[in-house]
Amino acid sequence: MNWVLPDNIQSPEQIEAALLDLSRLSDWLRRKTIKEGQLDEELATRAQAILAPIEQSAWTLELVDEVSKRLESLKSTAPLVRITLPGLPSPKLRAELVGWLRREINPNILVSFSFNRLLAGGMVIRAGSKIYDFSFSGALLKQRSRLAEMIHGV
Amino acid sequence: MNQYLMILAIIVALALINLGTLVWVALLRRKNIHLTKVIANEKHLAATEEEAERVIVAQSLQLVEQSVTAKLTVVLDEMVAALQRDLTNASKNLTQHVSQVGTQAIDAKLQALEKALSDIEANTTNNLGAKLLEADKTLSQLEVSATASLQQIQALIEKKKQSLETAMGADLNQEKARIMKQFDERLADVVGNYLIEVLGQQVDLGAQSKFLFAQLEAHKAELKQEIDHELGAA
Repeated sequence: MNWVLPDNIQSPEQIEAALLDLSRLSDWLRRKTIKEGQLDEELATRAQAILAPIEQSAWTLELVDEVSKRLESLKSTAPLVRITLPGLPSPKLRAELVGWLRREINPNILVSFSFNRLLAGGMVIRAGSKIYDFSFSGALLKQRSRLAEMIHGV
Repeated sequence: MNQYLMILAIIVALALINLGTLVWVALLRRKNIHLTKVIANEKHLAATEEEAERVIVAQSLQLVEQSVTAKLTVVLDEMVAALQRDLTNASKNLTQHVSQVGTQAIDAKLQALEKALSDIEANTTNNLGAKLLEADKTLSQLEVSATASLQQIQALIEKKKQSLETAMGADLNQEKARIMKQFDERLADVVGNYLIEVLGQQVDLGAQSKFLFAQLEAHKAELKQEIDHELGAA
């Protein structure tokens, strides 16, 4: 199975949602063996996003169960990083950040996003027990003396 | 009638008695007057005798007195003259003696006084000189001691002054630095909060994506290490 955690499943909450969708998909696949029927379009779309790059034609009950098990495992074992931004990030920026982290740090990393307007810019990352403050406000407050010098210089 | 006769007889009898009594009294009185005259004469005689005696005695006494007075005057004059002579001699002798004794006593006293004065003068001169030297020495010592104490006090005051100046200067600088630091922090806070407030309202995350990824790249190793550490701990 060539399935990897997709970038659109970023946080533990999204794993929960994906597991729910996969459960419904699994139900549908079981029923399908008894009786023909159409898969709900929205569920199909979401399931495609979860099971990508595996095409719908290759979806089997075993595959869905396997992915579900992988997701269950990731939910409890995957490293979690919390990123706080000064505003709501766009889906593109979220995907870019998650993609970079999974590519450069760990392929199964989960990211939880939040925002705080007072950061003014940049971001704050909490990984494990450490906090990395890359925010503008943090930089300003860390260098109070430099700021005071600059003000005096003016 | 008889009774009247009786009463009349009694009255007559009483009248006769009274008359007899009156006669007797007149006789007695007459005798008494005679006796009174005799007594008066005798008294007068006696008085005359007494007077005569008195006059005689008085005259005798006067004569005696005159005689005695004359003699006494003579004796007294002689005695006064003798006494005066004695007194004059005694007075002269006494004056002479007193003068002699007084002169001697005064001389002795003067000599003693002169000696005492000489002694006192000698002692005083010696003692005064010694005392003056001692006082001079004490004064010199006191002066030296006072000068040394004064110098010590001045040195202490100077030292204390320098110490206070140093301490006050240090405190002043410290307080100044504290106030300046507080001011800088407040100023930095105010400006920082202002910038954050202004920037926070104009967030463009798209424009910041380069900065975000640059920060991630700069801290990639730390992030990876922390994640690996977390996974290892799990």
